[in-house]
Amino acid sequence: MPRQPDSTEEELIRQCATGDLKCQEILYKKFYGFAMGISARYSLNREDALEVVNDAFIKLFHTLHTYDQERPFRPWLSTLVIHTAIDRRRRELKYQSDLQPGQALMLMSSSDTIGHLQAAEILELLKLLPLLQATVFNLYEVDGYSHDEIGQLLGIAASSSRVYLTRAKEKLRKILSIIMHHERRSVR
Amino acid sequence: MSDDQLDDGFRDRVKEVFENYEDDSADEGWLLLREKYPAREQHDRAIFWWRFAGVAACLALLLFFYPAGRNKVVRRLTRTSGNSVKQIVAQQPMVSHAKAGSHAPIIQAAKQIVAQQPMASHIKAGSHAHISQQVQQQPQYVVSQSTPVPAKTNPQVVLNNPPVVNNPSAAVIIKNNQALLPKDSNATIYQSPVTALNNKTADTSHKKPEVTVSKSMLALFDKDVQTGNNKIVQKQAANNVVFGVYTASYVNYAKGSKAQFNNGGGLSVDIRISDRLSINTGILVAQNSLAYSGSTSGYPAPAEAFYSTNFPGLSNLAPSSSNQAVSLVNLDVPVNLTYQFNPQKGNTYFSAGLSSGTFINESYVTTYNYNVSQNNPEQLSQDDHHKSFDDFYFGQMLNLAFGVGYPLGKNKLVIEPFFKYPLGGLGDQHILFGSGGLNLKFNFGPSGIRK
Repeated sequence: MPRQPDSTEEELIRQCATGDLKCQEILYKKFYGFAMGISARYSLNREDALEVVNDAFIKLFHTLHTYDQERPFRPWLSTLVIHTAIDRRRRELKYQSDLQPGQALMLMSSSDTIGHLQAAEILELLKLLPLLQATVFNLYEVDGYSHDEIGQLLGIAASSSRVYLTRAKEKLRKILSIIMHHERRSVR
Repeated sequence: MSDDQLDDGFRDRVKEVFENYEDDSADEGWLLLREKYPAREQHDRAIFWWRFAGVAACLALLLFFYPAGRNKVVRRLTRTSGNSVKQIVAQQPMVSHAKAGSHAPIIQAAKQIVAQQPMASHIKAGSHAHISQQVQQQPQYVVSQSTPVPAKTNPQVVLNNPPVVNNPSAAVIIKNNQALLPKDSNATIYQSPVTALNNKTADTSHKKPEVTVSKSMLALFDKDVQTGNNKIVQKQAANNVVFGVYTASYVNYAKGSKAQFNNGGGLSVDIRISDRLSINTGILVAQNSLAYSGSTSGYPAPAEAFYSTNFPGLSNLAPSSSNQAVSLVNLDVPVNLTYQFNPQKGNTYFSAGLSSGTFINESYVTTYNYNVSQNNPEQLSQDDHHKSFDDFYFGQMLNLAFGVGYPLGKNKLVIEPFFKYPLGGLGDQHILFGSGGLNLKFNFGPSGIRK
């Protein structure tokens, strides 16, 4: 169930729409973590993620007067961040991880189970996937997009989206199995 | 642990971690955002002032040229009124008769007097020129002159009955006329008609009142002529500004775009500034569309080859081709200088000028084509971008046109081939585009024909 904006949040958004810079700063800082959490999964590094968040907020401040207060704010911001990240990626060709599974194991050796994976570890793990697979995984599994929506967003067929998701999951399973096996051996 | 459990476990962990993601660099992020954001604010302010300046300049141009055109007509008319009164009356017989009304006999008598005194017409001409000038300078005076006087109601009495001379209203008119006329010319003007009138009426006992009668009569006569002059002023002023409606059919062109047929329509205003020159302005709402197509992916060939070999998934993110459809509905305010080849006929002209304006609607639709796989060779994705009244362009389009007019009753049909050349990029994406085509104008009134 998406969280509805409370009255103070509504008031804050209304003030931001009028161009009140102080309110915009409060709104930015309030939702910065949330936006970074999304942006980080779609970006190459922290700097990239921060630029995506800032671009998304600039778009938000410019279009806030069109925002329907009846709709929940977080999903709207989430969509804005995701679209900004994907647009940025579509334009710029500056990615791919040099990490190898072995490096992932080094990173994750301190985590005993999946349930204890930290944000940085998850991000490193996702970087091991080809970009398109990671993007489809994030969109479908984490952000709740359908394959049709992913197809439209990325300009691919819905069937292709399914294929990329399957491949992403297979690869993640393989990596996680190696990690878990390594953990078990190190415990013994 | 099964595959599904592993998948679900990982997904839930990702959600959990990133839904409650915390980052303490919000302050740093805000400072970085402010580096971009104030620049945008200033940019917006600059756009506002740019738009404001553009609109102000257009208005200033209109206001500057419009009164200049009017004054020229008035001056021209003043020169025209330098001709004899008789000539003016002859030029406007209908106006004189219609407006003379009940004092037509007075005018008739005056005409007779003038005919008997050839010099009088010359002298009067000077005086009327003076009056005309003064009337133009003091239009409120003309209004006061039109107040009804007893002479109007009974002209016979004015001519033959001395007591009417003492009528205070008539005296006011005389006084007014004396104020208008130069002192020295006053005597010259009125002496001759008075003598003539005296001879006719054979009444020498009331010489002074007779002079007054003549003045009164001439005042009415002057008034009549002035009414005629005012009519001319109004008529000429009306001819000086001509309104029209027009439609435009044209082809849009731009580098890399296919030629597109489009239409538009608007209102035009011609403001005459001299015999041969006039300012043409108005407002035009026009559709402009452009279609671009590109077959390259947009990435360097070595990079494309590298990524397609090593990262097939990644290479799919790059579109194999893209098409862009641009649709711009603009509100155009042209300001052109028009040169008449033959002012007497006024049927051919050449005009050149600049256009300013804004875009009512800008639509940029980019379609990306992706070669996804062997089985699914091509997929489409669309990127829509719309804007309205986002920017004001000032003098960014050069207009050139040649027009040929054909009279249609009192109005005029003008066929005007035109060409618009861009001097700068227009719209949100600063596209250099122009157009060429044909305007079909319908001007109300006989524009461009000098009488």
